[in-house]
Amino acid sequence: MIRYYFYHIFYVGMINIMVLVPYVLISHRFDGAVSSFPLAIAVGTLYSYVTSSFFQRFPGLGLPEIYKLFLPVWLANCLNMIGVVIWCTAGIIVLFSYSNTVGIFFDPEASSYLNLAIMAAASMWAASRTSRSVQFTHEVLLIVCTPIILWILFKALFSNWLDWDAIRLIADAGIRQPPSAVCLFASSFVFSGHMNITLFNRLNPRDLKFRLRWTIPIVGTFFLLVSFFVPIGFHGTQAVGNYLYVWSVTTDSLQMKYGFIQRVLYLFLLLYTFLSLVFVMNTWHTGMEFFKACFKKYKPYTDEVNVPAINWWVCGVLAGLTFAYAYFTNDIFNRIVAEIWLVTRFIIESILIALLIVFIVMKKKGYMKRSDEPRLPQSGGAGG
Amino acid sequence: MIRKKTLVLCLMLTLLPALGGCQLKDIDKRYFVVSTGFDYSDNPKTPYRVSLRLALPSSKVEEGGAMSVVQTVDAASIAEAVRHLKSTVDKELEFGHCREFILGRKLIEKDGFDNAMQWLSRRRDIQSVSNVMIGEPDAFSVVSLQPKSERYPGNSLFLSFGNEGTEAAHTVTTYLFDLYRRLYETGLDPVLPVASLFRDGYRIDRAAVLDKQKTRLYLDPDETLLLNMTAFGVDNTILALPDEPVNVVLAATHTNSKINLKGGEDPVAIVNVRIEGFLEQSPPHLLEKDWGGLERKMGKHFSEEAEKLLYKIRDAGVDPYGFGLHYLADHHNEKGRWEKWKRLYPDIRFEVRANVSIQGSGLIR
Repeated sequence: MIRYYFYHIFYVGMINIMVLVPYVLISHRFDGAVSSFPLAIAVGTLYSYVTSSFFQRFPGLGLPEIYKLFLPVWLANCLNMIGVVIWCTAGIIVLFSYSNTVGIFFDPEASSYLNLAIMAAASMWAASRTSRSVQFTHEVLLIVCTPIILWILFKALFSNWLDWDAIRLIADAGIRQPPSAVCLFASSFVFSGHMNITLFNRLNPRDLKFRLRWTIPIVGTFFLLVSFFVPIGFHGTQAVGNYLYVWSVTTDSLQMKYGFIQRVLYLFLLLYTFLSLVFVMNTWHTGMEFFKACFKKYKPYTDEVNVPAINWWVCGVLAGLTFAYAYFTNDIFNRIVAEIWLVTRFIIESILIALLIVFIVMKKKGYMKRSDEPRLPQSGGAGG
Repeated sequence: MIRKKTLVLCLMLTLLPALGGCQLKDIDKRYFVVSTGFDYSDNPKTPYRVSLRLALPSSKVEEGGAMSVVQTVDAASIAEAVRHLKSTVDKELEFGHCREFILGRKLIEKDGFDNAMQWLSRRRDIQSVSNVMIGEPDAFSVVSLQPKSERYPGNSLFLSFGNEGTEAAHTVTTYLFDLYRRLYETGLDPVLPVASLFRDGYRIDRAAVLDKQKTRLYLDPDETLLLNMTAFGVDNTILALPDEPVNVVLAATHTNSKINLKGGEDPVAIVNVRIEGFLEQSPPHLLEKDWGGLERKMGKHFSEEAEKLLYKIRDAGVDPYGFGLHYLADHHNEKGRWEKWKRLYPDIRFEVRANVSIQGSGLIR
């Protein structure tokens, strides 16, 4: 079962391209991007350890239930709402950048809302399922795309056109600069797969041990370095800053000479369709569950047979918000929003980590408002 | 009840794919551009002449069956020319399959290649792995040639590059993304192949070395071969040692090259080249008489020739090998290192260390 935890670590490592992390880092490549990497690796690993050991002590409980154990209801609801905002905006940003990228490279003649509509419909449907279905969908999609994405990354990494002098130059120049805060926030995103446990811990059995946690820094560092240095190796130290869709152009610089289609770009974008869907599904689902947790009647079911109508309503509103966002924004503005989101995410994540440590202390001292007796299997709904 | 609902939902979902059809142009309403040429017209008001070779789709695939038409228009910029060109054709132009971009020699001399690069890199449908080359005497003549050997319109030209079709030792392959990188990179300068016409085909056996704007140096075929071996490590090349009555020739199957810089104040640029191959032309029994000696002799000859080329390129003030970038990467973050390199480069010494290894003398001794 531990594999479900690592799926999250893996896919967040890969999705960073759609959240514009490479774009932010590359625009700071001469001032402090590289030197913030060690910090990001340390911080990301530390946070992963804290969350995983924390949730190991509360098996089967999501973050909203844990809030209820320790905090008054109004405060728990406030914290839940912050979670809703930060999770759902992530999905909206990714959905917009994805539909924008696809609109540019796949089908520029079609209206950009068409891509968005199809993708939003799929995300809405996927996110409104039960947590268990979401987890299984996640597994299936990830198993389909990860090998091919890794193949593309390694193809790029071992390409003759990769200029190691440019990579050395940037690595050397960057490591001597003082680390920049924005780059730290952006690069620590690569490690933030552990945050998905805040909801999906509900599905974890009582005896789950978080083994193999030492792989988290390795996986994260690999994806971080690849997504930053490979574009630099392909486009040089200067020209790489001119590209807006830096990874799309980088994969376009590869070719599959004997493949069905010779442009790797199309394969890459197809895979990122899946990954974006996984990301939006996870974020919206988490946001939705956090939102529902604010109501008194709410029970944290994970295996309902018929999904409640509120799931459709919440996800429908999110899809509508995405359209509103797409109407009022453009690509450049979205980049700024994504940067702001990356910063906010880091700050909120840090606050949450502090809170979790406080909770552990409170539990030890016995300051709990309610007891955390094991609950029955949470099926519920019709036919349970 | 649930089944009926699902059925309706499924039916509605099947309508979604149909939405795509509304805004998509069919393949028979598109003209596939197969090669594009940019020239300099002598009219200062409309300096850019864009020539497009458009493929005429045909149902049969056979040698010589490829049909195409060429359209040309002059305009104040490349983008305007392409838009204007659309009014002379009946179908929508599609650049997604165009992998050959030919810059006229005169365009580069008069205007540089920066403006063409801006257009090429900005277009979303142009592949980053397109081949860019210089057309001689102009791009139009290269674009408008219709070789008899083509199976598909335009495939003759792109098979000439890389190792897809012919693996020509004298053909330099420059992709669009590589040219764009070299256009901006400090300490790494662009190289472009030069394509001209030769009877019923293309002749791409020379290269031009450019600075950030214009051509500085045209290399002859022998120098281009050396550049290919030393800078790009192209496989399947040839190495000849002058000898009486006929040259000794090594068919090099593998070539590896690596650059290195030694020495602080008086640096030496070292190019390590490793060449492996078989003898293709040699007097009888030459190899078995002195195997190691022949390898050394060939290596020495190669080094001398390559050093001559390196000095020639250095004296033209360009750096297609990326010695400058290598220097910058070696001298981490030192202040003023780029200025220092610019001072050092005109007097730098070169050393080519060729390691020739002969695998055999072919089928006979």
